[in-house]
Amino acid sequence: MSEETKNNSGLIGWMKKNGAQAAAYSGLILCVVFFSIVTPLTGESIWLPAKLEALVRNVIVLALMSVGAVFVYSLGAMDISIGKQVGLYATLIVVVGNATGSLLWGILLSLVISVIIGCINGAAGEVLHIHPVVSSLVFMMVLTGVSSVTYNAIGSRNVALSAFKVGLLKEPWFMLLVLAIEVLVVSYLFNFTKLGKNARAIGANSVSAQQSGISLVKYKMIAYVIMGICVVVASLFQMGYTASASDSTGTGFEMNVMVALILGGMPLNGGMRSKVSCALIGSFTYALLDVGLPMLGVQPNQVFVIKAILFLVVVVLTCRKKSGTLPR
Amino acid sequence: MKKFLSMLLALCMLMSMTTFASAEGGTIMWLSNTSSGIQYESTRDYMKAICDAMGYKLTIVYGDMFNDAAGNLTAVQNGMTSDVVGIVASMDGGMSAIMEQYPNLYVAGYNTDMNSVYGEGGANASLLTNDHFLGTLCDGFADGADMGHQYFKVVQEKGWKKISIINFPGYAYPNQTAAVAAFMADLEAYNATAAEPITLVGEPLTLEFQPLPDSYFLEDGMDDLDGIVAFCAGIIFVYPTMITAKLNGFCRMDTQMMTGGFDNNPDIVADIGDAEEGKTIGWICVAPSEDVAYALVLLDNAITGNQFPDFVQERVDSASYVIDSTEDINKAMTKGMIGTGDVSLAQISVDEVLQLAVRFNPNATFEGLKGIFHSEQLSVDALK
Repeated sequence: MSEETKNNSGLIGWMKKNGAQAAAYSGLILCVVFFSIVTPLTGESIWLPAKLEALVRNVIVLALMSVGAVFVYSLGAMDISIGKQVGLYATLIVVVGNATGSLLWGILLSLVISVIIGCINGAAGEVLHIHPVVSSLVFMMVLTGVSSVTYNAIGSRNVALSAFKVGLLKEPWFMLLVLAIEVLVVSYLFNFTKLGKNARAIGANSVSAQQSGISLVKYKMIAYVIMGICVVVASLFQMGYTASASDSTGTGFEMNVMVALILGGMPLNGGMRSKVSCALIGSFTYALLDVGLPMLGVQPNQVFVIKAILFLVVVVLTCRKKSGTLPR
Repeated sequence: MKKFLSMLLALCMLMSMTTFASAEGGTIMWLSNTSSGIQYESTRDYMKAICDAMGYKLTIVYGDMFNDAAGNLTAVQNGMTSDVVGIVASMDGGMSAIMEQYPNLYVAGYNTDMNSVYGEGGANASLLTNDHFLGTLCDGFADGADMGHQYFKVVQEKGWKKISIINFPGYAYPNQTAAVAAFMADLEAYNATAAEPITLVGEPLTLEFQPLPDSYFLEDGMDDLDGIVAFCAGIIFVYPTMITAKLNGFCRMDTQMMTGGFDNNPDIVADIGDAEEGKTIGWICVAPSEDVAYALVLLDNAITGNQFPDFVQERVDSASYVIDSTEDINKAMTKGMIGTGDVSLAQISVDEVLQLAVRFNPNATFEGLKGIFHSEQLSVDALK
């Protein structure tokens, strides 16, 4: 048996193949076990209904966005405009909702805009020969300006939904139901249709994918559109959380998605190892840290430091190195 | 191995279902708008001393840096423990959602004008009829027009004849819009009769939370100002650009700035005083950390069921330290809690605070509470 074959068999081989996923799952399990044991020592518990509710509310928006973002990240791309998109869609849903007395028109308008933005973001990279992150940066700046102008016109930093109540959007069971449906739909598309297979193929090697007849423009556009639709769903819950939106709604969400996906074991350059489960594991780990650490008396500003350290550890553990190249 | 893991998980679940007894009087949560700086530190230490004396534990959560409703609600949710009995809110975003989620908690505002509650058509206007919302002590004047009148009076006293105005956008700080309008009205009225009118150079500039651009001093007349009236947080957003402009010769060396807010950075502290002494910051107005006692007293009354007989939920002006000379800033830095962070130097001692609450002094009144925050006791002049 050759040295290479030996290395690829047994535990080492399994670790090479599944190390990132194993580390991600271990991280989540470790967090659950750790907080289950330690929080009672401070007189609290993550298993109390109020804390579980807080956990679901913490995780829902991030998970909905991250699940959608799996398509884009599997391409080896990313979208840094999604935070501002959440702000725009949440604002539209509130403003149009107040004007029409229904959420439907705001959601539909948001979906139309998300499809347009997704198509442009997806196509710009290939058509203009730029990294897709550049076009999303442009959208981020444009949407920041739109938000500023809008709230200036409104004359307030926030708008509240006053026409009707949206209690259902605050129900944890409903949040989990919608998340489950989204996960099922995205998993099906990602794992059992050529949309997902081709997206992963593009992420693994765009040149060979193109030479195999895969249209890069088409599948990138579809990936961004799928993510955009998921962002609209996330925006609905973000708005429903407080039945309002503000000029800062969604700020920094793009970074949260990136961190959640990487914590979940998603390879940064996409490819065949991309999985929808990465989004769920990462989002729950991220939310668990947000909910659990303050219960241990960790100051909120120290939570950022701890999350950053964990993020660094996961990146170091899960990065795949090839001789002479940067971590992938 | 499987058995061991099962036992471990079962143990975790069992332990986690067990909760321990909480603090004696419960916990007061502070939804803070800052997480560093001398004002934050002195307020935190003063709050802790008062909470200890009242029998509460203090926990601090940091609200969303942009005062976003969802961000604030998440911060409160994540920091919430079963023994929290009241919230001192320094941010108003999402306040109705927070109070809807925790209907049994009392909330009192500190260092925030709660415009979303008291402003016309505010997103949290429903709190006006919520008996668990105890009102707020503002960061400055409740009515922005009062700030405008105050600033114009200072301009007159300083004898500035060429000025410019800088403020934050009205959608974020409606009070500043009212302040600028009142200032302009005063200016117009003054100029109508004055032998030597005050010239407003350019139009009031609205800063979108970005530092003042360098090009500001290249505009016509800006290099020859007597003073800049910065309704915005001038020390952060205007002062650095002003210093650079002075060094580069784009701004007169004796041009001064008046603004609100405080920073104990030694370089900034050393640059507060008179124009004759070459100081850039001619006047600052800051709410002292002692203001937080107002919210704590109201919370204690409400939590213990001993509210003032004359209590009315309202927003009131804060006390204010006016610092406009080297002597004033030296006093604040050496004899005041705001400059030293030393709780023992508080102008309202912890014992005095207890006497403002009905639980410790049955004769205490709401008028008495408000009165002390608007008295000479809480001023730079009273620092000994």
